[in-house]
Amino acid sequence: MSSLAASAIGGRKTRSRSLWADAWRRLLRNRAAVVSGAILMILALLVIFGPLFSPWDGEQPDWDYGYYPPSLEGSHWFGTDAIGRDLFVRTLKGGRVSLALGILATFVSLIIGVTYGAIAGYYGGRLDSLMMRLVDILYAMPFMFFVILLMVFFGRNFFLIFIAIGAVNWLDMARIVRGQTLSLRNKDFVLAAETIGVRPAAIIRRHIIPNLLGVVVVYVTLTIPQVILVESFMSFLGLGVQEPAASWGALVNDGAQEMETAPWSLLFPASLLALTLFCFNFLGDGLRDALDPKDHL
Amino acid sequence: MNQPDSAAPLVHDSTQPLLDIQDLHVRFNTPEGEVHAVNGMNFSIAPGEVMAIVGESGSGKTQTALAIMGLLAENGRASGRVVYQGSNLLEMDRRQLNSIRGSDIAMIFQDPGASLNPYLTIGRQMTEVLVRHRRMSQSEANARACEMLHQVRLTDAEDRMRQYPYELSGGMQQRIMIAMGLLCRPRLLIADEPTTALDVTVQADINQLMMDLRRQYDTAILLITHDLGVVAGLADTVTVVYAGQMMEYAPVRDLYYRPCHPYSRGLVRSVPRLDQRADQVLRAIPGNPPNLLDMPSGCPFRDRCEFAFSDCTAYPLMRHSRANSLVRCHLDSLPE
Amino acid sequence: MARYALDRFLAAIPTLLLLITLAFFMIRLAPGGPFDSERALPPEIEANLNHLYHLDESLPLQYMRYLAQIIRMDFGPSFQYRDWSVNDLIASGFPVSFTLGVLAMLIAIVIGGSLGIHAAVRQNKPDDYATMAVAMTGISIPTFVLAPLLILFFAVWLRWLPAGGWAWQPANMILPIITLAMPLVAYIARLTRASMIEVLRTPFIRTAQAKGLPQRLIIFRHALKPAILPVISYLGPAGAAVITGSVVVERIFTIPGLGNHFVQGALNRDYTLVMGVVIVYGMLIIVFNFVVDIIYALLDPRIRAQQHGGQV
Repeated sequence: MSSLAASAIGGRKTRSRSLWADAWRRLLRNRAAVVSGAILMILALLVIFGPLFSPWDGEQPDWDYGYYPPSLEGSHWFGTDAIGRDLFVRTLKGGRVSLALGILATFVSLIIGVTYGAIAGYYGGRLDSLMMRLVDILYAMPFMFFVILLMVFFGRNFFLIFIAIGAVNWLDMARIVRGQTLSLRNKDFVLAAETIGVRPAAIIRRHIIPNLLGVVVVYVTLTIPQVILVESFMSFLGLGVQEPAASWGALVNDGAQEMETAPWSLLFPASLLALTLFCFNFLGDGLRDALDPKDHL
Repeated sequence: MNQPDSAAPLVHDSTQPLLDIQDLHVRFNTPEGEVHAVNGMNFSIAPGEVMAIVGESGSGKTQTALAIMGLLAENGRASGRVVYQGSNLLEMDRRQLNSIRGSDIAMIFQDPGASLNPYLTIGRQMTEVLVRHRRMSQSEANARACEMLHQVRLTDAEDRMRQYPYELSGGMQQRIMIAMGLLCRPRLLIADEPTTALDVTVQADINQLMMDLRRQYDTAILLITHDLGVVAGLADTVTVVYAGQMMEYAPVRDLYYRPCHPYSRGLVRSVPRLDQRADQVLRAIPGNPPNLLDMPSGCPFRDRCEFAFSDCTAYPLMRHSRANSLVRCHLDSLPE
Repeated sequence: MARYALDRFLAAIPTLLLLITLAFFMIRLAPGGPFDSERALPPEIEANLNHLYHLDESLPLQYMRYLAQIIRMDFGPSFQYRDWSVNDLIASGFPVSFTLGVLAMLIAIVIGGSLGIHAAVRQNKPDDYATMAVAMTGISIPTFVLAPLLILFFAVWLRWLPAGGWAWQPANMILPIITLAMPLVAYIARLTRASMIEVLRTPFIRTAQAKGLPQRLIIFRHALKPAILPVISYLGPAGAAVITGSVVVERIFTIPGLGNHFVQGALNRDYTLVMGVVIVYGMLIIVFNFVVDIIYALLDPRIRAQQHGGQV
């Protein structure tokens, strides 16, 4: 009996380790995902350190050099905007804002969503149906518009923006986590922990949440680009980050208005924005395939 | 020629076999490497014969059936020959194959609940076979399908036609699968573990039903199962497979009472029988089947075989053990 | 079925109530009164105005009044366009936005669905990769980048289509509809492909193949219905996405729709107009979800049967 139990435990350990190792191997075989991951890494480094290599700060207007086209000699590598600010620096600094915003807002929605979903899924029964009913109701709210109104009423505020976006985005997370928790709930190791009297909070923390990691990783990778898109949408409405700071969304929006006279002012931020979204989506897809062996025979 | 109760047909009967399988291999490309699921199957089925393929799960019996039907998963590849009426099914394109599948050769599956389309009525799923293969009109097909439901002893056939699969029990669903398989009077019915997913009480009914219909329709059956107990009452001949290879082929009585392969005997002894005394121990076969990714050379069973000896490192060839039996083993006779 | 529809309908009521309540308190949240922008109104006039709009009553009373007003589908007068009621503005904008949205949606379903099915059937072949790469691009390019590019190409360079403006004719609708539909096409294609691939691996599809049915029949009769169910559930969020997208599209193409009213209203602090639009949007989403639920039930015999008191 005891040897049986021991072998069962041993089996679990090796299995869970190889589960992650398997996922990792599957991910590495997915060329699109690997390339996307590498590009994202490079982009992050570029966005963080790139501006250091330019003599410009991207905020000081230079009235003599408005709409200066991109050139490798003049150190305005991406050209300048209408009032002569260097677009290379502005684009990279805008990238910092967009990425930071994407990660922060995703984190907010992650915390709310995981907590909410794990509680609903773990306790189940009437509490679960009540909580999910609320999520259903909230789903039908045109939150985007409430967020816009908040911006209009209270002015643009970096902090407010990502709280608002995070608060809108947690619904999906809550649903996914709840579904996963519900199925984990009936797994033997959770029942075992319950039998020996581990408190629910500890079970959720020690057994449920670690096992949700896969779903969460995938979700985070797919939410960040969504948030970046939402931010750019706000910027389009003139409700994004405030001048002189910029985000990719704001730059793209400025560039789109000048694309006939200064196409570069659209091209660079738009390409970086699209590339980032593209890579996050591919990476997220790759992670999902890698972590969900169902699709792999 | 097709009397079910007569002695089983010989392996190489002078009559034309209905289906002749020669050196069938099935391989799967997986991330971990190439899986050798079926490794050189050779057998034939005579018209009207009931042949059972018996083996553990993962022994390649289901993949053999799927290869015959051209239903292997995307990453699977079959090689060798599956000859039906002079042509090799493995070389046919989908259109040619579709004129045979469901018409000449039908297949029923292990889990009837999952094998019936939950979004279509029973009637729709049955009649489409007739409309497709027999060019019947919808009303002709309806009448024929209804009649078939009577024959599989379902009550209220007309109502059943309008029902969805979830409204029926597992046993009823499998009756419908059988009815659907026999609609076009196929010459061969492949039944892959047809009773495994069902209640024990229903299993016997379904088996009885298949045998009755087989007599009535003169259909050969390839019965795939892990349960030697089922085989005893139904089959004429039995093929025992292990690690994707045939270990023994024999008429059912011979296999039961005088198995020639240690693995076959292990299987026979692991079947509980009513005439066994309670203190007699059921014997399990120790060990696990070999890794299909990395097949050892020599006899695949030797690691689990209590009689293994030096010769077993060489691959044993299939040889006649009796006039109408074949075995893949270096032992001339099994020690007691 | 009728009972199911009634159930779903009743379920929408709390949603609607929450929507109206949120809208009401949103107005209350707004700093300052709606007439602050008018420079230095004499106090007695402001009091009069407040009285006229019932702003001098207690909050619960105002809430009840607002509720009663909304139930009568009366959104009150616009604070900015003095001669217009919010109802008038919505009535003028709604048909435009609705037409564009519905057409974009239909096109997205047909094109996205076909692309998805095609990719699924040719899984891991060049067609599949090409389709999915295009779909990914469609998801990754923001609407407000796509729209100016389309204008530049089709209106400025080729001069085939107008760059903006509105008339009830195809020429004015094509570019806005493409812009609106693009992300949806991409999303629906990906969704359809994923669910179709999953369905094609189910045992019941294997049964259909074993019956010798032709590929076309298997896809369209056996696989399409289950494969389309996740797409149907996605239509709710898709409706919301179209509404959000219409804000961008209507601004870029200068189309006098609801989205444009919303942005103008928000910038002008025309609270009644903005709230009217938000509530109409919310109602649209609710109605839309209701229709989606009904379609879903019609497609899935198991949900349909629950209402007949049949076995589940």
